[in-house]
Amino acid sequence: MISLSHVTKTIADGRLKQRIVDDVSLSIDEGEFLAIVGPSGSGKSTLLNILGLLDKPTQGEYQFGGESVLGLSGGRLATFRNRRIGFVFQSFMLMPRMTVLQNVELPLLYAPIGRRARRDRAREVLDQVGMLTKQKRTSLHLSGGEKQRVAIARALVNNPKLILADEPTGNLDEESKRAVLDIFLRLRQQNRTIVMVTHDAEAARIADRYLTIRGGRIASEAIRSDEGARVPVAVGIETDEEAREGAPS
Amino acid sequence: MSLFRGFSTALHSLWDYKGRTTLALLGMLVSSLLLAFLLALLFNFKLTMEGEMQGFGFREIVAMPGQLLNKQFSKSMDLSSLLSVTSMNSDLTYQDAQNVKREVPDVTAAVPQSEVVTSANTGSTSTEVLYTGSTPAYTKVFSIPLAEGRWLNNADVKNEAQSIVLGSAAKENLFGSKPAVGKTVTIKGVPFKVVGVLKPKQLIGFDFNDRAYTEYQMFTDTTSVRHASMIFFMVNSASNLHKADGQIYAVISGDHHGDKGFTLVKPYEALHFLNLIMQLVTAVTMGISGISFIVGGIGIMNVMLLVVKERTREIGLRKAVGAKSYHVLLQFLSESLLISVVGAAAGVGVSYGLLRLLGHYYKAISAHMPLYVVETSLAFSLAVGLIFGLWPAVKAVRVQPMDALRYE
Ligand SMILES: Nc1ncnc2c1ncn2[C@@H]1O[C@H](COP(=O)(O)OP(=O)(O)OP(=O)(O)O)[C@@H](O)[C@H]1O
Ligand SMILES: [Mg+2]
Repeated sequence: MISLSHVTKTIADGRLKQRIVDDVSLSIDEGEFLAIVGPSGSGKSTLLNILGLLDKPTQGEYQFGGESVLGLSGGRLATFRNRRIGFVFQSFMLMPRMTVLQNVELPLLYAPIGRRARRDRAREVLDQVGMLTKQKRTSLHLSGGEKQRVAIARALVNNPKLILADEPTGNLDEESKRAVLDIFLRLRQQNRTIVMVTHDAEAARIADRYLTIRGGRIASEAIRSDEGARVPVAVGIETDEEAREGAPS
Repeated sequence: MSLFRGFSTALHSLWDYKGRTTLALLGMLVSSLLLAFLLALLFNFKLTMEGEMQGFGFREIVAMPGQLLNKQFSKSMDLSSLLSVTSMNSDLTYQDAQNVKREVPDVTAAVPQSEVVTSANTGSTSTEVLYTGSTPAYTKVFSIPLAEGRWLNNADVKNEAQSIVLGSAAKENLFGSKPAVGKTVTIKGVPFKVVGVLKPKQLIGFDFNDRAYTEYQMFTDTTSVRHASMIFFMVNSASNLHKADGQIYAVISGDHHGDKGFTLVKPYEALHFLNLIMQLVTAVTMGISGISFIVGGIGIMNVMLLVVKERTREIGLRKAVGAKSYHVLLQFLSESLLISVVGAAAGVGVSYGLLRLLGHYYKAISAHMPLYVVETSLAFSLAVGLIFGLWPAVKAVRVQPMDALRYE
């Protein structure tokens, strides 16, 4: 469904030119659950933002459902994101003054959907993440785990083909993490296409495929065997901890 | 995005900047207050003037003694003393009026007027009045509604009747609120019978209310005044005004053997001049309010720039989840419009209140708020909201989703 070929993102940090994503080629099938791991600063978020059409690569090609999307205008891109992509940001990105329900409704404000249907749909996804009872609360006073569940609900509300999540379990306590992972397990069962960036080994374990990024490059790739263990595909098995140890300091 | 939703989010977000928003609102309020109040005041002033004119001025020519305009006019003199002086020095006569009426076919009425300040008494009360001589045709020139009785008629002239018509203030001073018709008023030793009382009338430059009118012949018989202070000529149509003006001039100056001791005044021209001044004042008002609106607009821009900066995260998020540029543009323009229109509406409201208050204390001035004043204020505020909201809104449009994700 998705393919990146030779995608590179170069940034000019002062006079220094730096490749934060370096020649990444990658394809993701429909219904696949891909986890991206790697040390901090390795370019995981940047890659995810490129996949989510929030950031543009400086080089390379991006095909989404057979369509080349990098040449799309700002308005077309906005519509594309609105209809096809659900994004769970690294920092929840909730509007503190809006209610939980309003936060979840936000993407639908820009979709061709009536007021009633919008409200119903938002309640439906809030129910899926177990936050329906708190729909009237303002998001400012929610706990971290609750915020993340609302953020996930917002990513699901437009029923996207592709769900992107940047560290959805980061900074959550054990219980909240479990709740969030349960949601992703259920999404996996619904055969959604999911890309999740994570530091967490347990979180990565629920994915079908497992990609390690280091210095902006794909360092290794593995698939999940039936027993839940990862089987190396290209370079070799590397756990999250190992990846971190291998990171340049 | 529904209009209401946009509106309520606009309200919410502005609420976060209460202080500055209030200041910006105040700026717009003051601007539109200034504009609406001054425009409405001008409108009412004009309305009052025209109301007073009530037809007078469009078909009239007034002959005045030349001395009035040249030598003896002084600001310190009040009108009644001015008139009594000019009557003495006027060369205009009853005969001039008769001659013009006879020789100029377009003149339908020629009404001389002459007056002196003197005392009038009823036996129990006494007051100063403008004892005035005129003719029954006087009411063809001025329409003054009667409070009681009737105006002087031809029978009064023929019988040399001792009839008198009182102005509202003269009657008030002599009889209070009691009816006056049929009562006797003594002026210059003559016991006059009151046949009519006029309603109060205002017309800039004329005093009707302090007068006691009698028939012209009676007036000259009882005073030493031999000349008319003014002669009013009524012309059959406004289009003949200019032609008649020349003919009247020829007749009177011929009778006076070329002595140009008089002036012909066309009130219509004064009205024309008044209109011109009104237009000028309106233009100045618009200019001043315009500057005030610009200052108000800068206030709005200030708030909106702040709002946009503080809400970079929100804008980026909205764009990330699908908002297009025009959504963002409309959202922020609607906020600046909200400030400008609400401020202006409040300004119009306050100016209406002020106008009513003014009308309450100065009854002579009407207190209407014409629709065009409201429309002008709203149009100004809409323009200001759009123009000064545009730059902040464009800044908002330029925010990219990535700016929001990196924003701390
Ligand atoms: N716009 C930018 N300007 C300068 N540097 C940037 C920019 N965007 C990303 N970087 C840098 O690129 C590198 C990769 O950033 P990225 O956020 O993708 O890392 P990450 O793998 O998600 O890290 P983490 O696990 O800590 O979230 C970092 O060194 C970051 O500082
Ligand atoms: Mg990251």
